[in-house]
Amino acid sequence: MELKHFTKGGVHPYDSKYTSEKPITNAHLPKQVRIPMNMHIGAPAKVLVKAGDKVEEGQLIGEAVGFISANIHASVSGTVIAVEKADTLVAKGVDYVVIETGGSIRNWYDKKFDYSKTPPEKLLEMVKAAGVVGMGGATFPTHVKLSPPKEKQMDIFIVNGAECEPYLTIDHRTMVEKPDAIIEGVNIIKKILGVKRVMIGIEENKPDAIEAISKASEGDPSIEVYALRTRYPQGGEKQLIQALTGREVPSGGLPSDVGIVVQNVATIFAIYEAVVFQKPLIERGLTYTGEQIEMRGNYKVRIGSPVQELINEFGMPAEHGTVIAGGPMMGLELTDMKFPVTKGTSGIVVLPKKKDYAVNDYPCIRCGRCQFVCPIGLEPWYLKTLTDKSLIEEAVERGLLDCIECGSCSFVCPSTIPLVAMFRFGKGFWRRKQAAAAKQAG
Amino acid sequence: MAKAIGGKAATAPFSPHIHAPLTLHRIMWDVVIALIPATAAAIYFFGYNAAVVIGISVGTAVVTELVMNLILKRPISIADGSAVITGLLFAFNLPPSAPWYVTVFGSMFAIAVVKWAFGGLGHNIMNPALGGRVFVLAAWSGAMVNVWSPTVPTMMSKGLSFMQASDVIIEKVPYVTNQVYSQISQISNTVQTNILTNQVTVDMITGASPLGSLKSMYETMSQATNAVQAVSHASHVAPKMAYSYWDLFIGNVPGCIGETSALAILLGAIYLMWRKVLIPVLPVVYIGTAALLVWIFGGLPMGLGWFAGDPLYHILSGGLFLGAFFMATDYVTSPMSIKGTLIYGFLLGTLTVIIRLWGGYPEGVSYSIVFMNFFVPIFDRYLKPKIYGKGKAAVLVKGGAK
Ligand code: SF4
Ligand code: SF4
Repeated sequence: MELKHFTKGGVHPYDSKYTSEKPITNAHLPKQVRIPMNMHIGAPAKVLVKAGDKVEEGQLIGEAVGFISANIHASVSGTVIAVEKADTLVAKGVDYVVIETGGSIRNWYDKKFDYSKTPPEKLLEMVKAAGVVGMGGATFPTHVKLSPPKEKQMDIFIVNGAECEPYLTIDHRTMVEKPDAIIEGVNIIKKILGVKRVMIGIEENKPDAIEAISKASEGDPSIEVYALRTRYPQGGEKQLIQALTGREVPSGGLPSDVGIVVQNVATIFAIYEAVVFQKPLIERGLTYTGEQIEMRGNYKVRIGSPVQELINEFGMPAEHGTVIAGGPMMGLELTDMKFPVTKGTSGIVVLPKKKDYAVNDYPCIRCGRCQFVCPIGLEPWYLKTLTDKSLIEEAVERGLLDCIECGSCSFVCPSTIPLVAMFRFGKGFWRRKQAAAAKQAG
Repeated sequence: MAKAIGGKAATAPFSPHIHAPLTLHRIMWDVVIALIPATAAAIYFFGYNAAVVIGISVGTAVVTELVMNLILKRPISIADGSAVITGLLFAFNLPPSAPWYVTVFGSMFAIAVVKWAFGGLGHNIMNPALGGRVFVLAAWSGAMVNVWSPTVPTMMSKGLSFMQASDVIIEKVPYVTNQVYSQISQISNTVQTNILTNQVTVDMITGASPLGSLKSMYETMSQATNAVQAVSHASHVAPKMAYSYWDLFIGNVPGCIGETSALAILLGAIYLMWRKVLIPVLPVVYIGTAALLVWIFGGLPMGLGWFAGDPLYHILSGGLFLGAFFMATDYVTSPMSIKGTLIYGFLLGTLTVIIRLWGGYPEGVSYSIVFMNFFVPIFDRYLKPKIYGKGKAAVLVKGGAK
């Protein structure tokens, strides 16, 4: 079989997928959940409860405001003990609803909703009501992605089953264990988007997932399953689109500009549950893993469970390296174990000390490796030189804003220069500057 | 962005959190390891003094690096191996008879001026070792190019011990056997003619490196006007006659310390390729271009016409391998893009051949590289890779496929 792949760059970190054989199991109900009202890109949700309120599992506690925003639901039944402000990994001063668990556990799965006669708009409403967001890390509200502007015609829906981040296996397990649910989710999305063609891309290092999904979609000529070459960042939207269709999303544009919508496996599963069981997004699968973690595995966890609860349940050695929310290539370091699992947390990875790497101030030796691996075709060493000299405008000209922050360049840089971090600062600096200029212009 | 807290400042608080095993130190020390075969060959072919020159050069380079670190208040960088590489490569560019002061000042110049005056590793605009070479060539040209002795193994095959042979090399005494001594003294004024007429062989009379002998041959022949017709038949084989390809390949020919053995250099290069430190695009283009151009034009200076050059003789001699694999490919002073690398390699090959065939020196490699080094920033500025989403593929389907 010919493997599809993107055309330029990429790296192949040792994939460390220790948990690909571990079935998804439920984590214990946490004693307390802390649910931030800002888990997605866009406007935070408006808090609907106050301290002392009793809430039911699945009850709406945060309401989406504005177009790009998502609903938030209580992930457990219990009592709201506080609504407080705290930081998340990406934002400061966010409202947290703290719920003490207690009360009934709801069974969502006793009756199935037959969506075959439901019109697409109604289906979209259901997805929106359930508060589904992109669960692969970007956390973009899904209903927004599923309603592209009318003037753009969508012709392909792509399922992102690449899961190219090292260590993470939750998408893999979901595909192996719930292939029919995924395919049903795909059908729902097909209906919403009105597309005729579905392409599913799965990295070749998950042969059982490829097999399961192929089998589940057998007899449906509109669904094509492709094996992808194992190469990071194969699961990047732009790379996946290029690998499967040969199309390139224009610089500064969106997949919808080339007639494509991409959703990752976990999101599709959430859409399936939202429509078929009318279950809001209150829990998610994640991979809890690391070389030193004995109970590493794939677990269903309630949104808002503090990471500390997982540590208590599955263990964490006293001597360890960085703890990461997400994968090691793009995830964020956790510094406080009170941080909750959010809708976008695809894994908790505990690195052993030796796998941490030190950032050094070694000079760039112009070895060219960063340029070689950049999947976007940027020249990270050059952008670094420019950002060093605060020549942000020139850096933008040279493609700074096109950087997808995949981290491939930092991963290979022998001088361990924190390239991605510099680009993130550079981009932020540029955006602030643009915003200030726009403000001045009135 | 998550902040680093609790003494974690030394690790990466931002993604990615893992790193490929290849680090700066490993790359540099890999290059040092890759230069070991050439070092060993140097000592084998040029005697103990080659070891002394290499030792002095590396020692000076490392000490200079340390001093520069201290003067400029930079972190001590001798452990990164880059100074050792410069010391080695500079020594490789010296004749085995190089006096100690030439070695010391050249090596010092390479590190202190060529490398650190521009800001240290990664900032130099010229290969430091070659910069050092150009410096000593200007300052002590006498010590750099004149009489070359035959190699130690050659002399040993004529009955000298390793030490004796090494001494001959340092003293630059042309070594001859008794049998041919009288013959040589008779013909000493017409040496070049005699080479052509095959009366003596070069390793007996000495005086020129392979390219030097080739060059004098061109000159003799071009002076010979009418007589040249007479020797032109013989001169088809003339360049080959000077040294056998095998001697050239293994390095059993007079020349600079580290550049003569194509074999030893190749061994090191293969190691570097295996370690993924070296991608051989530039060397292949460089050497390929040189071979092609020598084949096309190499016969012209000798009056042999087009397509009569001897590419093998040229690519195996005169430090082309050392230059192509270890100097031109220097990360810091070569272009970044593949396109740039191709053009750069082509220009290097062209320049080298021009200097060799028509220039004032027999050796074109180091001048070509130093010269081309200056143009690298231009390559980097104008030859950029295509950015995803900015090319044709993106424009074609823009607005959504219908
Ligand atoms: S982080 Fe940006 S610059 Fe670095 S490899 Fe990825 S896209 Fe290229
Ligand atoms: S990988 Fe690092 S050292 Fe190499 S060119 Fe890029 S920034 Fe410079």
